[in-house]
Parts: sequence; structure tokens; C-alpha cells
Amino acid sequence: MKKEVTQLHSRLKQLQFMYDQNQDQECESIQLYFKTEYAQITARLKTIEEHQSRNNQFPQFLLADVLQTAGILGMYVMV
Amino acid sequence: MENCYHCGDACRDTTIVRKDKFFCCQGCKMVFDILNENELTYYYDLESTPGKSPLEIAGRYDFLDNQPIIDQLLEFDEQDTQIVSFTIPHIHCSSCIWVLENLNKINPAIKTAQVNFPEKSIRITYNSSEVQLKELVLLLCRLGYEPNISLEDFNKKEKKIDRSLIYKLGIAGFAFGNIMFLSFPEYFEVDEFWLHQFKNMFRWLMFAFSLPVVFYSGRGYFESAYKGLRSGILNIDVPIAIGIAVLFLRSTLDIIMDWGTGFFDSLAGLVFFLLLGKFFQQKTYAFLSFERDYKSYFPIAVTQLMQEEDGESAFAKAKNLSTHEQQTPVYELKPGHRILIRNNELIPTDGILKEGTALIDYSFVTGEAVPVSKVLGDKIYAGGRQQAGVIEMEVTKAVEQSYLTQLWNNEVFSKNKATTFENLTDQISRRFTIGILSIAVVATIIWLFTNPFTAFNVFTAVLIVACPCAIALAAPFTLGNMLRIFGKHKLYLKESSVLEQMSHIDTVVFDKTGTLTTHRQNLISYEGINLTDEEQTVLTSTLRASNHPLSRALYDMLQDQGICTLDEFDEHTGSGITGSRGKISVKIGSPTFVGNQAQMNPSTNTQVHISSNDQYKGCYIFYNNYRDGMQQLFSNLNRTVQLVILSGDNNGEEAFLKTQLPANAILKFNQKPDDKLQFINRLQQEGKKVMMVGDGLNDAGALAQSNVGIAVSEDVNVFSPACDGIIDASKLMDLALFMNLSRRSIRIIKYAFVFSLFYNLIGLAFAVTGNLAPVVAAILMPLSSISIVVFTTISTYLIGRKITP
Repeated sequence: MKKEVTQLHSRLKQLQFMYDQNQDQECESIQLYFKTEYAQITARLKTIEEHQSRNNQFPQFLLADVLQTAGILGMYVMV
Repeated sequence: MENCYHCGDACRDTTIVRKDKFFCCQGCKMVFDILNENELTYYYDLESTPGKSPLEIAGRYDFLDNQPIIDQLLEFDEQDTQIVSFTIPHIHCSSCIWVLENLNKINPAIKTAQVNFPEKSIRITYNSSEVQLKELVLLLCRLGYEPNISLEDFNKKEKKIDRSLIYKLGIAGFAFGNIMFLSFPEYFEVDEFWLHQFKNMFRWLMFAFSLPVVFYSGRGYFESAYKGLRSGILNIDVPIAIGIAVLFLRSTLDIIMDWGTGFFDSLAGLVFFLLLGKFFQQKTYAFLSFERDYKSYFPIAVTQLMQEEDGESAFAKAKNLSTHEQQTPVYELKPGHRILIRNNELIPTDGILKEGTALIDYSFVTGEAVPVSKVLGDKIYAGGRQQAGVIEMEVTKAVEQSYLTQLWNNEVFSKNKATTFENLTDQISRRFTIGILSIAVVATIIWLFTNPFTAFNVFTAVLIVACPCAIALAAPFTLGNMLRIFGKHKLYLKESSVLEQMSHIDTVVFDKTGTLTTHRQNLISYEGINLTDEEQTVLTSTLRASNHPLSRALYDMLQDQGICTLDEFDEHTGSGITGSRGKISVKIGSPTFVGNQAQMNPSTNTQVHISSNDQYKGCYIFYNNYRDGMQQLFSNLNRTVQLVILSGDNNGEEAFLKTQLPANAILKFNQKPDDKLQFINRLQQEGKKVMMVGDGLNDAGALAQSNVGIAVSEDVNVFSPACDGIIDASKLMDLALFMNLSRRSIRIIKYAFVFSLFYNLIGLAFAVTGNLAPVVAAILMPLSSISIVVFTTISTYLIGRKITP
């Protein structure tokens, strides 16, 4: 679970980097790609969040970092 | 008869032709020449006949040689840049603005000139090393734009414009918008993963935005509530302050404890709408002043006559002749000082006539239009205007101790009427606050027995939802709207509370001269033997040659009878005038002067007697010209109020006034300013709510003492004593309608209270049952405010349509 959180965090960072690179392009396919990818990551994060609240398998700050990154990327992608 | 190209007046006495244009006097022609030389004739293209004849100003501005006075008048004085502002009553059109803002083309030492049209003032930046302030003023006078430099300018303090309400409103509006924006995700339960991550940040941001709203924008409500409670008054700001405090504390607790988003948007909205109401209620008329006292009209300095200590001749001493003049600020005048008053100058203090012939126009003080003659040794009171050449007088009292200025020492002038009046909102608020607190306590006690946790929520929810936002807005918007509607119809009220006080009036006191009568037209009739055509021509020509106000008024009426060149003309100041042509010699003046005291008409009205070749012919009687529609006004007012007439004049017109007034009206004559004040005071002690309608400075005490003081003005830009409202004389006959509308406005406020109570009941239903969600408050509170604003605006618009334009 902890490893998966780390992977999701890396993936979010990667997506954020890609978003920064492509933010001046108004290409609908790219936008759609970001939204789909983001929806998949957040769905997985929600599940992990629920598990963590029940089992507390890894340090809380790890998940907090990922949620913060996901929140910021969400603001870019979804707004 | 041609009309003057500059001022538009008929060229009666003289017609001067210059460049195919006609001018009525040398002054008008001179202004044209100045403008023509400086290529400023576009002045006449913007508006036709925009100018005014320049007045005789010899010596009048000599006080501008006095450095302390200059220092007092200058707004800025540094090296080569001096800034000064003047009020110029004649500013009235685009031509005025254009020519005044181009003064630098006439005199390059003037750097800029900027006109403030609503305030009829000009701000001039100039270089004092190239042009003196006095030269600047004389230039304005030569152009017919005589500045009004009064004693008030000598004491003027820097005007501080209070913009704090605008800042408070701006901050509350900015915070309200942002908090609303940040509240939306939670209100609409947007199921977005990323938004959920920002929830806490948004809540704390809302908290941050609410801080300036509570502690800056809303501070006034806490202060007012505190002051109210300290004086034992439950004013409307008490429940508002409770509402704001509870909203803030409950919301802060909500976010700290993570119970919810809080009510920050309702809090910011509440303060924003309340301040909006306050802002709307503030209606100021830049061109009016409701606080004028004698200082606005008195000269800043007068010519003092100094006795030369050395070298003064025995003859000068024997004749008590003065040898040199000095400009002295009027505040420095002391008993014993000898002063010089020129023609048309205002007398600044009480004194004794020492030299010259005085013909004093006291209309400024008493409202009585006929000038009074004074002979050597007579006492002259402050406030009169000399109308017959130069006089010398000895000061007997310092300015602040003169008869006229003493009136302003009466405590009535330092009383603030607004603070002694409990308005309708405060009356309702008292019961409302007690009611709401009772509901909150009862509901909390009930919940304490069923669900203690909900009890706290219910207590705060009741106080939040019952915050009387709509009640507090009903009066400002209704009264603010009515204030604007009244202003559009030329009744200018000082503040909205005056309108509320108007609705309670049960006694209306009128001054007579200048209020019910008009100065603009004299009603003159002739009683006696008919004059022959030749006699009439000599009479008209003799009147034409005289500058006495009564002669001017008679000449205006008789000028169509034709004129001739007189062989002889003589003026006997204080008695009359004589004129002759051929075998006809006429005398015009007092009965004694024309030589027939026995023929004195018993009327108490002003009379001008005529004799021809020493044979008494008859007299012209000057009647007060009452305004049209006076009887109708009295009849309309009498339905709701008691009418009183207080006049400073004798009872010469009592019989006529009784035909105009209802039987129960009270008439009092020979009333001095202080008598009027005391009369109103007595009425108030009997529990009457009194409105005083007056015009002159003699009414100032009564205007201040009354519950509502309305000054009648022929020209609202020129004169009005301290008062609560200024009504244009042409609209005086609508006074009954204005009073009726003020009563209807109060009815609208009462309906709006019922309306807002309905909203409060809905909110309370949510609150006492423990179901007041932030979103409910966020919808209910602005909705109630907006609907009250819409209701009052439409209602006032509808009743305002009753006033004919």
C-alpha cells in the first residue's frame, strides 16, 4: 500500500510536469487525457484513503503529501 | 429696447454700441473688451448672454493687501506657487466654466484655474511674484465673477472628506464576493476530489476575509450598540451587533471544530447590505450648505480709520477727521474703533453713525425689504447693508458681541436635533431585540432538556437568523429614495431623519416677509389725484435718476410713461428727491418732505408721496406681494396641522392675512428673532412638534429651535440660514404635499417592517427546530434584504409620482 502511494505520488508529479509543458496548447485530446488520468488516480486515492482510515498502514504525512499534490493538479486540470 | 450682449438685461438707461453689439453699461462693455482682446469671445458662443455686469468694487478688496489675511486665504504657499479657492455665486453655465478655466490667457501669471461647478467655486494656482492675490480678485471682479470672501474663509479649517463609509463598503463588498465564491463548493456539495482537498484552506480563507469585515467595516455597529446600551437605549444596532458577533464566533468555532463551513458569507453579506443602506441614505447637495451662520455673509475685513498721531492738523482733530485707512480683520475690531463702510458693504458689528448719511437695508437680518434711514448719532446694528454712499461709524461692540452674532450664542445652535430624536427603527428595535432574546432563551432551554448539543446551535441560529438586516434597511432605502425625490422637486433636506421628523409635525409656523411674500415683485398702487402726462414724465425721469431701492421699484413700474431730460435734480438723503423740467417741479418722498403731513395715508404699508409744484397729489403704496396659491396651501395644511404666522413686521396686513388663513390660525406680529425662538420653545414644551418655515437670518434661531426648520429661498444657491431643509420658493405651495408624502414614507417603512418580520419568522422556524444550515441563512438573509430594497424603491417611486414637476 505504501509503495502504491509512492507510485501514485510520482505519477501525479509526472502529470503535473506534463501539464506544465503543455499548458499553452489548447488541444482537446491532451485535456481529455489529463482528465482521464486524473480521474483514475483520484479514484485509487479515495480507496487508499478509506483503507488508511481503517487500518493506518503507513505514516499519515505520506498520504497528506499525495492528497495535496492531487488537489493542486486537480485545480489546474479540472477548472 | 435692445438687450445687452453680455448680461442680457434690457439697455434702459444707456445703450453702448461696440462692434455692432449693444451693452447696457460700461462694465459689460469692458468685460467684452477684455475677452475680445484676449481672444476669448468663444465665451459668448457657448451660451448667449452668460455674463453679469461687474459691480462697483472700489476699495472693497483692499483687505487683500493685509498679509495675515492673505496667509489665511491661501491653501498652498510655497516659493512661486500659490493656490487659492473662491466661491463665485455667479458661476452658472458652460461659458462661465470655459472663461474661468482660461484665465491664464488673460494673465499668464495664473498657472491653472479649475472650476468646481456643483460647488460654484474656483481653485486658482498662480505665481505671487508676478500677480498679487488682490489683482487676481480684481480681475475676477472685472469679468463679473465677484468672489464671495467672507468671515467664514478667515476661520476655515481644512475640509476633511470622510470616505470611511466608502472604504468600509468596498471592503465588505470585496470580502462578501470572495467568501460567497469560496462557500459555493461546500454549499452545492460539489463532489470533486480536488475541491475536497482545498476545503480547509477555503474555510480559513473565509475566516481571513471576515476579519476586516467584522473589525473594520462592522466596527461602527459595535460602537453604536455600546453607546446605546450605555445610555440605556436598545437601538437597532444592538441586535445587529449581536448578530454580527454571534455569526463570527459561531462560524469561527465551526471551522476550528470542523463542524462545518460556518456563516461567513451571511456575515459579510449582512454587513455589506447594512453599509449599502447607510451609503444610500447619505444624500448630500454639494451646492447647498445647511450650516450657514453669520460668518458666511460677513466681510473678512473692514476699513479702519486711524488717527495720525503726529502731524494731524487741528482742523482734522476738531472735525474729528480721520487721516489714514487700514484694513483690519473684523475679529480685531474693538469698541471705539472708527470704521468706514462703503456703498453696498455689509455692516459687521454694532456701532454709532459718525459721518455721512446712512440708508441701511436690513432685509438680510429682518426680511423687511424697505431700507431704514439713519442720522448722525443713530445706532446701527450689524447685518445691515449700507445703500447710500460712504459712512463712518464708531464700533460699540466687538463682532462676537453684536446683537446679530449674540443670537448664535443661544444653546439652540449647538444642539444636534438628530441625537434627541428616536426614530421609528429604534422604536421597533427595542421591542424586536427583547422579543428575539426571549425566543432564543426559551428555545435553548427547551433544547437543553431534549438535546443539549443542539441547544447551543439553536441559540446561535436564532440570533443569526433574527439579525434585523431587513428592518435596518427599510428606513434607509425608503428615506434615501424620498430624499432624492424631494431634492428633484426642489425641497432639499439635510438628512433622512428630517423626513421622519416631518411626518410627526402637528404645528407649522410661517414667517411672513420673504416667506409668504416675495421680494421679486412689488405690488404698488397709487392713491390720490391723477397726474398730468407732463407731471408723469417728470416723475418718471426723477425716479430714473435716483438709486434708492423704492425709486428703482417705482421706476420699473412707471418706465413706460416716457422720460425727459431734467433741468434740475436733487436728492435729500433720508427724505426724498426733487426733479424739475420747465414749469413742472415734482417732489417724491416722505409726507413731510412733500409738504403735506395731513394727507398721510393711515395704511401701515410703505408709502412714497408725490407733490407737483408744491401741491400734494397722492402717494404710491407698496404692498407685500404674497405668493400665489397661499390660501390653498393654508387650507391643505390646516387639515393636519395647526398654523401660526410669526412676523417681525407690524400688524398692517393682519386683516388681509385673516382672509387667507383658517379661523383657528394664530397670528403674531412685531416678533423679534428671540421672540420667535421662545414662541417655538413654548409650543414644544406643550408637546407640539413644530415646523418653522422662514427665510432670513432673523428666523435662524426659530429654524434651529423647531423640530424641522425649512428655509425658503428664491435662489437656493445664494442664501439660506442654518436649517434642516431648503425649499425653492417656487415649490413652497407644495409643502402640504411634501408633508403628506413624508407621512406616507413612514407607512411604507412600517409595511416593510411587517414584510421583513415575515422573513424573520421563516428563519426562526428553521432556527428553533435546529435546522438552520449555512446555505439556508445564505439564501434567506440576502433575499430578505434585496426584497425589502425592491419593495421600498418601487413604493417610494409610486408615491413620488404624485408631485407635479
